[in-house]
Amino acid sequence: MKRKPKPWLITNLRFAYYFLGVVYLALGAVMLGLEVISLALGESPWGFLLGAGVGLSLGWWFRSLGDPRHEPGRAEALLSIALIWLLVPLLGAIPFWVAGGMNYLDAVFEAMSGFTTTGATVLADFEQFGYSLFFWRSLMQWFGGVGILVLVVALLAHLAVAGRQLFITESTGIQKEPFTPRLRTAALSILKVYATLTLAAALCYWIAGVPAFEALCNALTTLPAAGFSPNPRSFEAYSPLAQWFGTLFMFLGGAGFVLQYRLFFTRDPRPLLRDVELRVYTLIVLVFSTVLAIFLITHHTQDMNYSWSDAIRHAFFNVTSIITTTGYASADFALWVPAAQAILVAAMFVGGCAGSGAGGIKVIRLLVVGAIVRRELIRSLHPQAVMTLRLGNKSLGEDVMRSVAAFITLYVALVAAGAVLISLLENNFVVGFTASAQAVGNIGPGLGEVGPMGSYAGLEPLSKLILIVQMWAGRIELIPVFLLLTPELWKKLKG
Amino acid sequence: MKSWPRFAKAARANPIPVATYMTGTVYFALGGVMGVLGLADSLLGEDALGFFVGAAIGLGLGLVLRQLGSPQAEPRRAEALLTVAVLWILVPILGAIPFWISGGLGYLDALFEATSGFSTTGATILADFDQFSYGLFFWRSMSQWFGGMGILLLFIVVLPHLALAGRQMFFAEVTGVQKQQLTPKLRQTATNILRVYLLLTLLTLTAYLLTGVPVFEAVANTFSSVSAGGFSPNPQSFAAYSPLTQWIAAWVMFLTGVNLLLQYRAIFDREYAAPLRDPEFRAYALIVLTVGLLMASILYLRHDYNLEPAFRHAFFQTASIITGTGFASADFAMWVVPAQTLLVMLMFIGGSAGSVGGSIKIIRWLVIGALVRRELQRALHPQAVLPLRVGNKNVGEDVLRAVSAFITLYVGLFASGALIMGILEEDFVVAFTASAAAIGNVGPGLGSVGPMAHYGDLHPISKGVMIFQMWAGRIELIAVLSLFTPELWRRLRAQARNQT
Repeated sequence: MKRKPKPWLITNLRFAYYFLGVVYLALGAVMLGLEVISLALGESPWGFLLGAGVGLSLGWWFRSLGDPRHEPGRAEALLSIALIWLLVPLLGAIPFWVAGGMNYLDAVFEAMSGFTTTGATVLADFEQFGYSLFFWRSLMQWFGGVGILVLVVALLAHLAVAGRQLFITESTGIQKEPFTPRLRTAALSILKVYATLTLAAALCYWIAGVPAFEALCNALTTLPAAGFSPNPRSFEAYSPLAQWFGTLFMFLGGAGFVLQYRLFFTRDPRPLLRDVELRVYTLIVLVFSTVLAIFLITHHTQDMNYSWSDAIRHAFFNVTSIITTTGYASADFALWVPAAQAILVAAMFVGGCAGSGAGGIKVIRLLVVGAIVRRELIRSLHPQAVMTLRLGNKSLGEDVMRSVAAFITLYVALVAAGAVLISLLENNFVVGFTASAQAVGNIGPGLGEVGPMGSYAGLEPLSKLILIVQMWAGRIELIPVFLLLTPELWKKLKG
Repeated sequence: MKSWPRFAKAARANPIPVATYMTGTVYFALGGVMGVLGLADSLLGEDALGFFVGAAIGLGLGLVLRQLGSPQAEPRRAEALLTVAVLWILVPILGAIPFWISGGLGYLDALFEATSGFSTTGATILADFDQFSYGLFFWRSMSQWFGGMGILLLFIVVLPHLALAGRQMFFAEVTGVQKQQLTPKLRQTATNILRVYLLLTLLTLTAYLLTGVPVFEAVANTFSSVSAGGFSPNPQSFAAYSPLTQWIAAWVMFLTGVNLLLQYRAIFDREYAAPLRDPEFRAYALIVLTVGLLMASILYLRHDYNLEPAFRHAFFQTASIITGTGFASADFAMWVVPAQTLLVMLMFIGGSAGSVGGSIKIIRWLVIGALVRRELQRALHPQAVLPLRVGNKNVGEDVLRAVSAFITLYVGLFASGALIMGILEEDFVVAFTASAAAIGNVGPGLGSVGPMAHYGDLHPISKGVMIFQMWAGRIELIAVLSLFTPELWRRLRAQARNQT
């Protein structure tokens, strides 16, 4: 069958269209399933109906435009990532908009926060949502986690973007190879761990006394390091045991899944123990938590009635939550002393391990930067010396270092630009800074008005839009989004 | 000067002769200056004990250190780094003595004030301006003027020569740093810079005097204007002076952020177009203009300033913060958050690399911008070999690495400072802005450390952190941080062994 070429269509994007179509069809099908649930529960059926309709029809149309056999080049692949991560939340927002009593901007904010596994909410009143909407909210984070693991961990590594080439050789042993069965196996094994841990988390929460529905929803948002909870008080509402389980699973969610695969499925703990990133990650969590626990014990045993065990639990829970960019809260940390909050703000810039669903800068990039800085200091003494940088037992290439340096610069610049703009709009320094930092890092809560028990509903529409862009860009590691701003990309797509 | 025999032996065994000799010379000179100020103060009938003690220590230690050291033409790298780092903290340690003995400050506070002076920061712990005599105010401003002179020589002559923090590239064509020795050309460059500095000082002084600033304050403010310092003997800073003075000061501050070598070429070589062709100057002027206009509109719309005051305060404050001067023509801690946010942003930009301005500096932002742009292109063409250019200069990979390491260190040190002070001061805005203002050598922060307030009430550890930040930030971090690498000490020990 020969189709007429459409002049407005960038034909090089055929693979992206096909892929987007498949994703839309799948989400449409899921929404159709949720439609059944909402009908059964007697909740408003129109949101999922409309969403399913739009998803299925647009999905079918996109699929017919695309071509699965087209091998995407670099420009197309990067653009596809950006495009898909933007268009999927636009579809996912429809049920919130129609059935959740939100305007479309808020709905997109919520959906973007969902698919990017951020966990920042504009939901001020949790009564607004029915069970089916809460389930959809959690489910989209779980899907977002799958997407990030497969697409970003595998594909960005394959494309050698943002220093990712390093992480894949580190964690999967895959060298520069075409997108082959081996990569597919790696992706599958990651997903196996991801699904297993999700089930385990749901079970553990349920055993610890969390109601079944909430246990399931929370499990779906724990492993992708996401953070939506159907309970307005987040984990504050649950028993200490459930909070400790939460800490455990958040920690696992922030550690690389590939290494866990080796441990759980091949019963080989050695790569796990030898991994530099995991060691540093564990160390950071321990140090931050200990310091925070000390502050909580010295400052809040009186006015908040924390016992020692409360303080230690809250310290570990919230530090793990912020470092892994999950964003749950076991207490309203916006009420803590500034010293404790300062530690959490610092933790916002760490992020989890590279092979996980966590956002942020990621531990391994900080290690690379630390190595660069150390080398430059030594070079100031021996300007002629040739030094190779090593991380664990891997030597770092100059290309990795350059791209990590560029990545971190972009990251900081995006946080700073957002902080300035949001402060300008909101007239509030703390809200501007923390909202911006959490959005780029896909964390969720900020401090002050946008703290863990607050919401983003009161922000200016423009601030919300900025946060949406930041969540989007931060999730797919900035480079694909910033590329959209370069004329080279568009030139390459046309040519 | 003839060596005393007893010292001659010690001097031969001294592993760091240049560091010792330099410190001795500077101490001797500062001792002399303090002696003169002490005489002046005692003629005015004020307490001059601090100056005399300072003078005695400076002259005495200076003599001894000069004897122990020796002026070598070319110190080794490790020693050169050590000299730079140590000099910039030993000088405030001496300079603090008058504040401590005659100024009624504790030694930590005095050291804070002196570090803030010699690093041309302008952050003060002085709550009560009646505490200080004329001599002390003069000393305070003068220390900034000396600091400014020192920093110019460091930035344009020494650091490029040592190839630190990317400076090997910034002045390559003027200073000829590729050559291994301090050539006559370098000496010529140094003289040229100082000529511009002196000319600017004289012009500023004349302008302040003509616009009606009292003589003493005019002199003191001149010292701290041209060095981008920011100490003023008037507790109201520039808010106390006429609008015309404020406009002039805004221009002076703008000029202090411009590469002095460019100014030399424009003034003495009559190459008027030289600055306009320079990418760093163009970016600098563009930033000042954009932020100034934006701030003027915010001030005009959100506060009840008229048009002229809105523009005046906006440009004054923009120039003051971007160059790291820190004068205030109005209490900007009272301004609306958007205006304050712009000021905080400026704290991270800084002036030109060849100026007394602090912070990261424009050229480094241009380099890092070029790096990011290239990495984006590389994401599309991973195999392409893409040269990096700023203006019409190629940026070498070594410069690139040095600049990205510098910025990382800068941000890291700023963030650690903010974190520590956040914990100690229990106030985010104070911690954040104090840390940025200290490491960028700006001076005032926001909130309770705003331009009309002072740093006196901070926790002693916070003051210590800020002293470290002012010191390290001023000499562009690398020299100070290299003190913390075992490598440096290993080399110095090896050097010592070779000599004996």
